[in-house]
Amino acid sequence: MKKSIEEINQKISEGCARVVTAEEMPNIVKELGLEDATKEIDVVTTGTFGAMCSSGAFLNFGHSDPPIKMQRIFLNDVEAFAGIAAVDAYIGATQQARGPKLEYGGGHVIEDLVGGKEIELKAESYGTDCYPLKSLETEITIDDLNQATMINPRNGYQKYNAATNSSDRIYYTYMGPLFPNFENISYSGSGILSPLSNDPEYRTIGIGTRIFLGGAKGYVIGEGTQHDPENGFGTLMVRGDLKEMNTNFIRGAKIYKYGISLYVGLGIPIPILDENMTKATAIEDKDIVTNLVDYGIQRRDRPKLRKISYEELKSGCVDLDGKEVKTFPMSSYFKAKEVAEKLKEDIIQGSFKLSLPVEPLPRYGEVKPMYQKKVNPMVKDLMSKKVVFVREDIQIEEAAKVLIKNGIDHLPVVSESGRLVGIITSWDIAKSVAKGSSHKKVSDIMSKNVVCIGPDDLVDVAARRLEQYNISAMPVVNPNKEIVGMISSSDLSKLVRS
Amino acid sequence: MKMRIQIPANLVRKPIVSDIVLKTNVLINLEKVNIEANKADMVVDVKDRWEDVKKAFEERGISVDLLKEPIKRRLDRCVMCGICSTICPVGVFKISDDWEVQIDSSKCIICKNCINLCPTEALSVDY
Ligand code: SF4
Ligand code: SF4
Repeated sequence: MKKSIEEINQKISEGCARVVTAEEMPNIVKELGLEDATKEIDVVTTGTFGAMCSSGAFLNFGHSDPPIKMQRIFLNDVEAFAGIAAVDAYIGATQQARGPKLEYGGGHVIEDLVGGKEIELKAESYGTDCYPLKSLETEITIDDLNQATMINPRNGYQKYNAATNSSDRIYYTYMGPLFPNFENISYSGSGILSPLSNDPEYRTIGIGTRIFLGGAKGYVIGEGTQHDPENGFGTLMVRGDLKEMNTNFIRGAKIYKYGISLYVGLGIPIPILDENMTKATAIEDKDIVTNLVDYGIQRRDRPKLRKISYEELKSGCVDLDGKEVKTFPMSSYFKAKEVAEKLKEDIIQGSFKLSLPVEPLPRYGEVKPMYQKKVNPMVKDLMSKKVVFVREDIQIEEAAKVLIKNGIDHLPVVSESGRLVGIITSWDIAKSVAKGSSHKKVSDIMSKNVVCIGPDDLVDVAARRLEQYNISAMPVVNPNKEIVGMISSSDLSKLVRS
Repeated sequence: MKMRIQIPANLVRKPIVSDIVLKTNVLINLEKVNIEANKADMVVDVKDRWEDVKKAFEERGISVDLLKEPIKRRLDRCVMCGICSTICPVGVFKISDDWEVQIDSSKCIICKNCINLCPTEALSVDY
């Protein structure tokens, strides 16, 4: 049984198309079987709603009098890219406001534009014969713009890696707060409702596919950046008219200690052209499998701990090597359902017709890492390998002598079995003496919460950690917590001099 | 009922809570205590006869605010993501079967962990 897109659109016009969401599809196929489900169902709607950093909009402001060739542009103090024609700009979702307004950024400007709010526009220029004006300040709303076109270079990930954290400290990431020692797992994406997961061969999704974007009609204009079809991580580049969108489906986002992003609601209707499409849209959360990745390792190639399905992730609790770990979503499944339902409504009411792509998305290819001419050095390349440390049961005076003899300020403390258990500094000793405290052993006064790093971590990570904790040196430990070196800010400064 | 109790400097060193527990015979659950040089600030939860406890504090010249809805959410901002559910130590946020993020404000101990974490700035506390 085959159906053409024209037949389906005809049915939509006549108001007799049968439209369901991708959530309803598995049960329908189980009940009716592939053949009858293909006859019965015409369109399956999908939806996703998540923070999509690779989003933004082209704006055209119209010309001022006298005209200006805008060279730097600020919208509510958020810089927009101005390196195009005189009054064109691109406002990117993650750009942060200059000055003290760190909580505000491009995502919020886009939301405020969509919401019809007044936006302060400031522009600077060098002045030319044809564009004499050098600076400009005004207030605009979206209605004053000639065009406000959302173009998002990468949206709608087919699925996304789930995140956890093996390290002993909390990390605030774009995947949310990840607690130490695998205490939680975060995930993103709508699983069963994910647009590309419901058409994994990209038969109906490609350049020209009409979609739901931010509450309005939009189009797929190609594969997204970092499109990774061979690993099942396809992405989309999409376009839509900001003027028709609404803030129910476009929302600025502030990810704590990470930055600004934009929540985008995106939905794609999938025409049931034949049984293969029925089968594809009958996919369930348990069939959509992603990687669980360790964000505790601050490298590009973060270790993949295991495969994990959206069914497990959405259940709220995952078994990780015998430990029950709670999951939490970064994207909103509630809103993803709203997108799929809204799209379904629009199609049933005849206000949304389907289109087939003029070119399919590429089905081959993988994401390449960056080509870096210079390899970033690792901690083991710069650390001092001669480490002085003491056992936890020695006397404080002993430790003081060791510090003085070696001319050092930081003295790692190890247990009987050689594992790092603490650190003392000359300051700790001075404090204990000054207080006249009765402590005798090093283990009584050492700090037990030691900031440390691994030999294979990049020196940039080490520099960031020293800065974050406001310390000048830390021990380098292997996975068994044995000390293999020390790294200090003066070791790191060697790098700058060379 | 949760209450916010503000104890002035002259009473900080007095065993007020114990005294009130003994006199009223009502259990007081201390949820948060913040003692500074010149004042103390507490959040307490009283299950039964909270009116008696409130009166007892007030009779001693200590101001009591009832925390009927300690944590507030603006529904026009909230996108029902559920990030708040990972950070709350007392389980104020629950993701329901149809994926709505529900709030039981009465459990809140005003730790404020969730405030900064909410990506849409939908959450606030008045205290
Ligand atoms: S984190 Fe904020 S937006 Fe997300 S569910 Fe909680 S209150 Fe709503
Ligand atoms: S303030 Fe603390 S206790 Fe209250 S809801 Fe937020 S995280 Fe939970």
